[in-house]
Amino acid sequence: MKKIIVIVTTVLLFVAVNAFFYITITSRLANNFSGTGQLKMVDVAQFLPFEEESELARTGSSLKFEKEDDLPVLDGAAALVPVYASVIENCYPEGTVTYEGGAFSDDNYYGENFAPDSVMQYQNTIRGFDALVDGSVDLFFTAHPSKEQMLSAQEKGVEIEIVPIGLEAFVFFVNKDNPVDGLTSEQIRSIYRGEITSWIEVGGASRPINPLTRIEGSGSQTMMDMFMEGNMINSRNPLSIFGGSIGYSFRYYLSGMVADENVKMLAVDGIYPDAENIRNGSYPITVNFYVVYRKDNHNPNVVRLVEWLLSDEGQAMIEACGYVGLPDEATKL
Amino acid sequence: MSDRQFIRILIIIILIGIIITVAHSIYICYAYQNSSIIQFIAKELWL
Repeated sequence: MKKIIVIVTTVLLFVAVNAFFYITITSRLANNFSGTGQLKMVDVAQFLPFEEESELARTGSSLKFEKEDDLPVLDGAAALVPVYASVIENCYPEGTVTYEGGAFSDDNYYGENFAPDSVMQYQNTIRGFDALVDGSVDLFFTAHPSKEQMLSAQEKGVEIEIVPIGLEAFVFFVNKDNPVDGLTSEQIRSIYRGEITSWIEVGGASRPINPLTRIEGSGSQTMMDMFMEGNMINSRNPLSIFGGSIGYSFRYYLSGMVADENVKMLAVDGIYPDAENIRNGSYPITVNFYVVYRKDNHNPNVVRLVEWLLSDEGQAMIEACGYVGLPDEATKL
Repeated sequence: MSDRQFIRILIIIILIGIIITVAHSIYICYAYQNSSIIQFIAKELWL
């Protein structure tokens, strides 16, 4: 009998350890880990122009291209797919977004099957920028291109025009049940430097802080590196994985694209990242997003489209997409 | 059950348990690096 009890206890011990891991960590790792899944930052199927059920900003436009016009080809970063897809919806004629095989599919390695003659492409930040430099894309919607991208364009002898078209906030977020609603910039830096390790030190619960980071080279991580002024530690207590997490991203991912009611954005220095605080500049970590084109692009519709994006109509569309438009004085070319 | 049998069963159970736990931990390390942090935070337990 004693031996049976020892055997059963041993089995239960392993079951308990693995159940604890599963409940506290494994069940929260809900992503698709395939190559395709990692590249698919956004479900483009939700933002296809000229599809009735698409979630696009149909705000209308006085700029209407015709099929026989030299139509600018648009591409962009994942977070800006709703913006440039809405541009096509409002300004382009139907039938200009085409797919290899005739119908939309995201069932291939790179995700989407836009045809080479389609005015909408989706190659995301790295390949999309290269396509702009090579000339197969006319307008590229993005956060500010990285130094490496600018250097790569320069080496190919390509001059790039970078025009700000809207505002975006860099935000920090926690679980909605975390009692902390805001942090100061200095507290955030101290957390990511490993100087503050428990939520109780910033007015929260007695629980370790799990400071999450992003993939090197991603837009969010580049922004965080700037925020931390290069002073960020990468090693931390492995047991903090069981603590209360804090993460960072751009606001649009949290409020629109990957909206989840179980996370909340934090106020920074007492200012919450809502549209008004971003527009009036009181939220401390606000950045522009841009449309980029080659200076030697002679298609007149490229500049017409950029001017439209900066017009009241274009800015209204950007706001309807869930982003924040530029302040009035910033929209004068 | 003889002592020999008991020890053999116990060793097998411990080995299987360790293999499963190590495999689970390796999966966690890999998946944690690739997971959506929004999902990870959204599913956090606060009691």
